[in-house]
Amino acid sequence: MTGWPVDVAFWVLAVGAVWFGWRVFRTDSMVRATFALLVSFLDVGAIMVLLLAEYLGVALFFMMAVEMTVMAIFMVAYMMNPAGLNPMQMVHQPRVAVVVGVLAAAGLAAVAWFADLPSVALVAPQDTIRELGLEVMGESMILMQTAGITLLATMIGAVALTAAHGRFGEATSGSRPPRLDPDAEPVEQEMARPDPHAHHGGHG
Amino acid sequence: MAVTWTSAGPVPVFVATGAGGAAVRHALRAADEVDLVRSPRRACVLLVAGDVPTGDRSPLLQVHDQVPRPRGVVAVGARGMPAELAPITSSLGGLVATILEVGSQILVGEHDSDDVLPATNPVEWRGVGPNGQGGEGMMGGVPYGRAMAMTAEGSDGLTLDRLYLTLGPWLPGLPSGCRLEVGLQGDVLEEASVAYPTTGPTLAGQVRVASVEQLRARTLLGWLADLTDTAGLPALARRVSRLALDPTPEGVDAVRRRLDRRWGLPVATDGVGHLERDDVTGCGLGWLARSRGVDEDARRDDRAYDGLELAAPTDRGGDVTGRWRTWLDEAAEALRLAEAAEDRTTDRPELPWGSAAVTVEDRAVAHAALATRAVSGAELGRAVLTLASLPSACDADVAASRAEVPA
Amino acid sequence: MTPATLHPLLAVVVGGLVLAGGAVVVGALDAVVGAAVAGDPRPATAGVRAWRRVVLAWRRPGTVTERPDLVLWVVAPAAYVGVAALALAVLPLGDGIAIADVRTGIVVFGAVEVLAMVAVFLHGWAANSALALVGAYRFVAESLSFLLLSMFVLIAAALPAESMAFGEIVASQQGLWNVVRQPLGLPLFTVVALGTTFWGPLNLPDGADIATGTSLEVGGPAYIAWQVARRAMLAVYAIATSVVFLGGHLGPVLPGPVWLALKSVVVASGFVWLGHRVGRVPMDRFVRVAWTVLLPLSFLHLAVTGAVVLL
Repeated sequence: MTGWPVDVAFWVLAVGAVWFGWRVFRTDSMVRATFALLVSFLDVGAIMVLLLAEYLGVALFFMMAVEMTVMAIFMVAYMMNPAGLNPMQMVHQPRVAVVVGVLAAAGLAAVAWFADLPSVALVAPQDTIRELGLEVMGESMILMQTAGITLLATMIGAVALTAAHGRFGEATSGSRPPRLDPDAEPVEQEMARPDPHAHHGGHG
Repeated sequence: MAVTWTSAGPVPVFVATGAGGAAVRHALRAADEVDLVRSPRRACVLLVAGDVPTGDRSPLLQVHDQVPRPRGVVAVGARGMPAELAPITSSLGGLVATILEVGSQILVGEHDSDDVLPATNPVEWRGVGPNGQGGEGMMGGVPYGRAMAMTAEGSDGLTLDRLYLTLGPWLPGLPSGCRLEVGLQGDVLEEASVAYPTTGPTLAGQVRVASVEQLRARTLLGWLADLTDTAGLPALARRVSRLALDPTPEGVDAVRRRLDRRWGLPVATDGVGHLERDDVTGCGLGWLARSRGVDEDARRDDRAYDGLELAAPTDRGGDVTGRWRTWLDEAAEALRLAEAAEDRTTDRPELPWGSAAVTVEDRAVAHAALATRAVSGAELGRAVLTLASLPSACDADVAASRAEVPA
Repeated sequence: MTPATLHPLLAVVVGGLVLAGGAVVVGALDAVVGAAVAGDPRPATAGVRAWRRVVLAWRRPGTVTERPDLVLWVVAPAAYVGVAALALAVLPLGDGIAIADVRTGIVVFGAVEVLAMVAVFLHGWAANSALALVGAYRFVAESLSFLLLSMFVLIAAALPAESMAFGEIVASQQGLWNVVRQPLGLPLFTVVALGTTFWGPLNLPDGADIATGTSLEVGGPAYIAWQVARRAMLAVYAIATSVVFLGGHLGPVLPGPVWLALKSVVVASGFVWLGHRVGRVPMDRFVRVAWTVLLPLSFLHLAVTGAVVLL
């Protein structure tokens, strides 16, 4: 794709991706951070679509949106301060983070500046999807199949672990250790009462 | 022109139902000119129907302030209204006309009701840490007087944030006056405590058997209408509300055919809010015991019901589906009894909502204990539906039937 | 083959008209079917009443809760209708008429479903209200459960077409509609459609049990925007169902877009009727059924379709 609309779109998306990436670390709200990261990824996906890698770009939208939403749920459920009502430091080891960030940016910028990138206008490849399919099912079939089966097993395992009913009964009924006498009733054991005032590890 | 055209549109009304105001809700649901909305923020008119208990007055003021201005307040049969609200009182008969009039005045800007509560926060943000954080490091604290959710272990061992909330007493979907205090983790009620109002309408003295049975039919069908609405079927709820205003045996059969289909209401209510037989025996809620086949019925020993055949109660299962099927059965039977009763009177009626032998306070306590047991550990949607299937006396309209009691 | 596209300006106009028209049609159907189910004496006037209700609500002011996330609150309905427009863009509206019939149509459609999930989450999150947040994360759990379903059903529809573009999927139904040769597809896709638009039995984020959840704190024009967005999305899903299973714009005598419109109206009526007929499925039951019954069914559906195509 060529033409000034594409160039404008590219610059808008690129600046957007960087700006939203920066916003991730400047906001106090974990949920806003998550969705700022999502927008940054969506911008990158849109750039990939501009580069005519349609399938990869749209698949990126798909995957990143699900991942970021799951992350947002985890923020709400587990972490402190999802709404940003408390001021917050978003990075651990701030000095190290700054140094690593600057080095990484410098390194990537150097690669982009000094590498010998082709400057030929992209011609729409007719069969990217076909090529992708042949690659996935041909050269990389073992890899894809292994990954696929592993993912499936993980999903089934996660569902099995979180299911409320297991092989030995309801998950919410506690286990009762047996007594020494094999015919006697198991020990009556009350489930640990949750303590609403217990504090769990946080960030100082 | 636009104003008059839209003023002919349905007026959005939020009904805050107090004790004994259920008939108002059903009348408005069935009416075309009025729209019942489930959130005060979409309403034009706040309608207070039925008595307002003392403890529920300040929540009512909060609900009032959530209605966007310009707004109006109408009251029907509401004793105990908070003094700050200046409602327009109305009778049940002229209610729709009053609402339409208030609605059109609001649209042209001639009517409004001032805010009752202050708009600024009475409690400041109070920070503890060096950057103004609220509590333990970046967690916790009490920003603006509201405690931040802190983590607590859940029943499956995960340590999630736990949110402490009070739902009710004016939440649509819950029985009137019912409060549900929860410790919510995700959408599971890790801790729950239900409270029912300890006052409510009663029937005293000699009452006609026909009136009691008519009241029973109207009350049970009214409960069914509200349950159907909460279960996500607002159109069918309108149909049932229309029937509840004027029940007939054919109407009850028609409603039963429409609701009791495999892919109809049971989808929402099967397996929800299970109660064991032991829980409901002796709880003072006659219909609930009868829904599990336990024959607690003052009518069996009542001479006034001699010759009128009462069907033996069947065990309909302990879930919400069983309870609303019991309501339909008892409503149909009540209509038949009302037909056959002619002029008999009784002084110990079997009330639609429970046994008259139990005092109101005891019944409220037993009811609350039962409801708490049913919703603890349940998911929030199931909990609300369960409570909608356990209504109290405050969800019946007694005033109408009292008018028929002979002096 | 080169995908068919409309001129950008024309595309915007056509897309806007279809979305707006679709929302109006779905809204009218909802009102009329609801009135018929409720036993109202004159169901046909329900559409007018619904329109008046919209105009009245539009004139009422919205309110703001305490410390909401205003940006996200405004973005949410806009994003929802935006992704509906994106989904409409990849659907063929006639023979050679499409806003952007890209080669990766079904992947775009999947991305739209996911982004719709994000939009609904933001709508519930932004209000700073407990029940709204409950609605928001309920929807995420519900949505994750049917996303995979939608992908398998769409891939199964793409197999006979040997293409992921919706235009090709329609073309592959010249001989036989997909609803006949892939019988499990339409019921599963109905679940996806009702889920993404959280309609009727799957109205978990805006359910009456949490006092309308994500819409609890929303009133005035913002509420109208949200309801219009939902109806527009349902219209898009009705069109998508017609395209994927009922042969889209294929049909004798009448022009393509007219056939598509007719089929979409029929499908939309079906969705609306289901909404008024089936009670809301409890959250945990839906998740359990979706993962343990519907997902294996969709695997089976895909496997059978694949086998049939190969043989």
